[in-house]
Amino acid sequence: VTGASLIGRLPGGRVLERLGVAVRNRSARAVREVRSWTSVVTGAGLPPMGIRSGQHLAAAETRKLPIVVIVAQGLGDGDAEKLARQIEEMQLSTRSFRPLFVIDSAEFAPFRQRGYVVERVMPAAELAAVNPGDDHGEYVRSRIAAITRIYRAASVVPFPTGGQSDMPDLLVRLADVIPAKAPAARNH
Amino acid sequence: MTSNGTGMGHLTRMLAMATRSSAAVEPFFFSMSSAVPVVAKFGFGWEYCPSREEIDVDADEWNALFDDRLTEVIERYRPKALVFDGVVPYNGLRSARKRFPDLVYVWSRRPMWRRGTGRRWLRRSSWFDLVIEPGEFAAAADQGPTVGRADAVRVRPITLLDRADLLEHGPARTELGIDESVKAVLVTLGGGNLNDITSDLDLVADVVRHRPGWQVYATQAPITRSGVPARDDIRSLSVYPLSRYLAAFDVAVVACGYNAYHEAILAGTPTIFVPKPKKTDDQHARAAYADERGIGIAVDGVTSELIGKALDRLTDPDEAARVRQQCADQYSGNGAAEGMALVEDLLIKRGVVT
Repeated sequence: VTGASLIGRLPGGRVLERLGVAVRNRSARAVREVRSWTSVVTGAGLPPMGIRSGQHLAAAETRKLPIVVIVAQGLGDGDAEKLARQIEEMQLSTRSFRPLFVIDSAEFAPFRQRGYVVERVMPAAELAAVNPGDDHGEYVRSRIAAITRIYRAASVVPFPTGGQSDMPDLLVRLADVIPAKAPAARNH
Repeated sequence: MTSNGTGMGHLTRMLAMATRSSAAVEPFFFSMSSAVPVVAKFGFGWEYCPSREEIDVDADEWNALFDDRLTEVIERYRPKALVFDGVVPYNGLRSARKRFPDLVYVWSRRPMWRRGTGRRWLRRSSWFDLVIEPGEFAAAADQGPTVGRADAVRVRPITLLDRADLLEHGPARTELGIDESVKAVLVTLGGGNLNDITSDLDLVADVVRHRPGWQVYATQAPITRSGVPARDDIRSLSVYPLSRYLAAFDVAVVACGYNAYHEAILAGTPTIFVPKPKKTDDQHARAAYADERGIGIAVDGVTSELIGKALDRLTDPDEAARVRQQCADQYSGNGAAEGMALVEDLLIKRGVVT
C-alpha cells in the first residue's frame, strides 16, 4: 500500500492527498531530514520494543507493530493536542504502527492520556543554559539516534516547526513510512 | 535522579535538597517521573527517561533502555555526583558505578517500608558512597527492614518548603480564589490507581454536597495519565507546591504518602489521612501513628460514615485548633538542608568541590 492510497482511506483523505502533493513539493528539507534520521536506524531485523500501543490498541499482538518515532520540536500552544489527536486517528484508521513521540516541550499530557510513549529532548535555549558548549543539532541527532536504536523503531518522521499548518505534511510523510494495515492487529 | 513512584515524593525530596544547595554545586535533574518539568520553575535543568510502568515493557527491555539513557546523560553532562531517590536502585546504577567509578553515588532512601518487603534491595546500599535516610514523623511505628540499619545517615523529615515559606490563611485563600465564607475541603489522593482515586473523590464530594456552604477542591497530580473527572461540585486545583496554600483549607483529605503526610504536619492543616496499599510504603502505619499522636484522623478506607464523622470532628473549631497546636508542637523542622549538606560534605572530602 502506498502512502497515497493509505491517505485515501483516511477521513478527509482526498483533500489531504491534494495538500500533501503541494507540501511534499515544497518541503525538500523535511524529506532530507526524514532520510537522514531514518538512516540512524540500527535495530533492523530485531523485533521492536513492546511499548504501549495507545489506549485503543490494547491487544498483545499490537505490541509487535512497527514503531514510528515522530519528532515534534517547537510545537505551539495547543499543537501537541492536535498532533496527538491526528496521529491517533491515523493509527486507528490503519492499525499498522505505534507512534513514539519526541517533543522538546513539557507538554506530555496529550500523548500520555492517549496511552502513547513520549520521549523528550531539551530545546536549544535549555541545553545552552546547562551545557553551553554543546551543539544543539548534534545533541538532537544523537538523542534521536539513541531512541531509534533502543526502541528498535522502524522509521523517524520529523514534524517541522510551524504548528498546525504542517499537519498535512506530517501525515503525508507518515503515510510514506508506515506499513500497510496489519491483518493481525485488532482493535480492543 | 528520581524514580517515578505513584506520587511526587521522590521528585519533591530531591527538589527540596537541590533548592538548598550551595553555589559550589549545580543541581541537574534526571527523572523517570513525568512530573519532572516542575523543576524548571525552580531554575533547574532536566532530562526525562520514561519509567518501566510508563512504557509498559518487561524488566529486561527497560533495564537496557535505562542503562543506555543513564550513560548518555552522564557522558553529556559529566556530573560529579549522582543522588538517587527511589526505593529500588536500578541495575543500571550498578553498571554506571563500574563505568563511571569517579562519580560519587548517594541514595536518598525513604524509610517506612512495609514489614518483610525489599530486603534484597537494601543489599544494594553497597553500591552507594552515602545513604541518606529522610526523617519520618512516624518513625516510632516503622516496622520495616530499614529500621536499625547502621548504613544510613538520618536527617529530619524532608519537605520542599519551610514554615516561613507557607502562606497564611487569608493570602492563601486570596491566591486560590476561595471566598472567606466557604468551608473548603481539600482532597488530594496522590497519583495512584485512577479508579480508586476518582471513586474516593466522588464519595467525599457526595458527603460534602449535603453540607451547605462547603466546597471540595481536588488536586490533579501531574503524574496522572487522565484528568480528574468533571463534576460541577468539585473545583480542580493545579498548584505546586501545594503545601504553600494548605492554610487556605479548613480540612484536608490526603493519601498518606511521605510527601503529603509531612506537608500536612508542616502546615498544621486538620487532616483526614487515607492510607493506600503500596508495595513498600507502609501508609497504614503512618496514618495510624498520626491518629495516635493527635495530628489528624486516620480512616481505614473511604466510606460515607467514616469521612462524615471525621469531617464533623475536624471542622469543630476547638478540635481544629487542637490539631493545629499538636502539629506545631510536634513538628521537628526540615531536614532538606541537612541532606544537601551531607552530599556537599562528601564532595568536599573527595576534593570535588572546595
